[in-house]
Amino acid sequence: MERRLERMAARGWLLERATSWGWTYRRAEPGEARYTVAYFPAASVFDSGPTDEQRTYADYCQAAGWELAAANGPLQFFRSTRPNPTPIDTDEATKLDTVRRTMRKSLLLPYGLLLAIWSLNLFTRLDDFRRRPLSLLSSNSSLALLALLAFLVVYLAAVLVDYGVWAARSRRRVAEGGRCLPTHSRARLAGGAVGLGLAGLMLLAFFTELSTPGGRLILLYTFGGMALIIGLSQGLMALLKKRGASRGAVRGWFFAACVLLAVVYSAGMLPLAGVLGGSGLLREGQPAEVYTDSRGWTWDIYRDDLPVTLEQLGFSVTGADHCTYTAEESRSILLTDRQYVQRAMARDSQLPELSYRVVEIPWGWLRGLVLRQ
Amino acid sequence: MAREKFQTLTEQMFYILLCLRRECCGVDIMDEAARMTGGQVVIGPGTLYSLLDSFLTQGFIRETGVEGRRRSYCITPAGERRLEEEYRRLLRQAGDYEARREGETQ
Repeated sequence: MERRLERMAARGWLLERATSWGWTYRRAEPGEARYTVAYFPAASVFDSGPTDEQRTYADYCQAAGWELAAANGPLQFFRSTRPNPTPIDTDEATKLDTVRRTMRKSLLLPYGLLLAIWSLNLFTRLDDFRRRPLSLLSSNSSLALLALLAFLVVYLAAVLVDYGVWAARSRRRVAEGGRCLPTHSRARLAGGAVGLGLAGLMLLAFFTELSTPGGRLILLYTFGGMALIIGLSQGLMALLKKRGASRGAVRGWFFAACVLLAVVYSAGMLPLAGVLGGSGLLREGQPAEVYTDSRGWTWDIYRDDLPVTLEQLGFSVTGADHCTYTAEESRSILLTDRQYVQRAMARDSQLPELSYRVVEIPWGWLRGLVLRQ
Repeated sequence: MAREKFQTLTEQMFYILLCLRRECCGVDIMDEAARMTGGQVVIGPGTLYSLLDSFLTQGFIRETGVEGRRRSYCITPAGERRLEEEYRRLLRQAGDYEARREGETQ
């Protein structure tokens, strides 16, 4: 991070603000500037402004020639224009202790929680797959989502393990009088890039699959809703910070808003799916006719092509039965799953319901796997 | 970690406590230590902040006053004792070295 900031400074860009979403710079004379990134565990992302302790800390640094360029929670960015400034941390043991205290709050806690939640999600999906493999294998979006989830779980675990190893090794080094080890920032960036790629693929899969107007609406609700939740909660936090609210107030309101929005969002999904499902907007194509029976109930009658029908099996089917023929297809890169149903909608019909499924699996290895289920 | 942290005082810890035998402001400790040791012992601001915080928690120093943002500290009796212990340890070490050297020249 420091080298990147120093390169920018050489080109005339000085760090102005640092947030979780990115850094902003301001234009200045190109020149030499040294940057140090230091950790101040007592600071929090929920602070409206620097606390008294933080100011004292900044004062000490200023006396040593370091000006506070920007801060993002416990992460402090210092800049110095002196040629050989006193390093901010001159004792490795103290520095390591500071870093570890910071990481406990800003790495172990959030990453640990995310790992736990996503592992649970992944486990649930895998369990679901074990019981009904076809519903996952026939959907590109489900496959992509599973891949993304699996990657994220592995990535989070890797980051946590990597930190643990770094902390243990650094502790040993420092106890012997050496210095802390450097961190693997490049590997993290690469991991992040892969994650984004998988996420993009997943979105693409979702988009192509849910191509009905109803499907598009669900997509809009799902992803638009998530973006809205993030935007609203971040906006609330920014507003409270601008008003100078206390750390506890900012944190409290932020979490309350997140929980409330999440509940509303989740609750809204059920009626939405229900309404869309009932309205037929999720089905491709229109019903061939609508049959209203003696009690006034309406049924949609479809006339899709079925490879095998009741008529072929020897049953006598008449118009009075009001049979509906439905063919539903689920296609993914791995297989195609077609479910056929022929059902008589008339109440007094004697015909049985015919339902069967045809699965096309172009991959030999997969065939054996699925057949075993 | 707190207990074993101060088993042996590092040079920087030693000089911070030494400076605070007289009431001193946090900011001035850095310059004082550098001056006293002719630039040999350099205490960085981040390290200074952390160590002052630890010493406060341990009871080796106490805050004597706040003028705006400038905080002054002073050593406590417990801190004096710790400093004295370290001084004696250093003396012993120096003594062992001299005794060894003398033994070799004889």
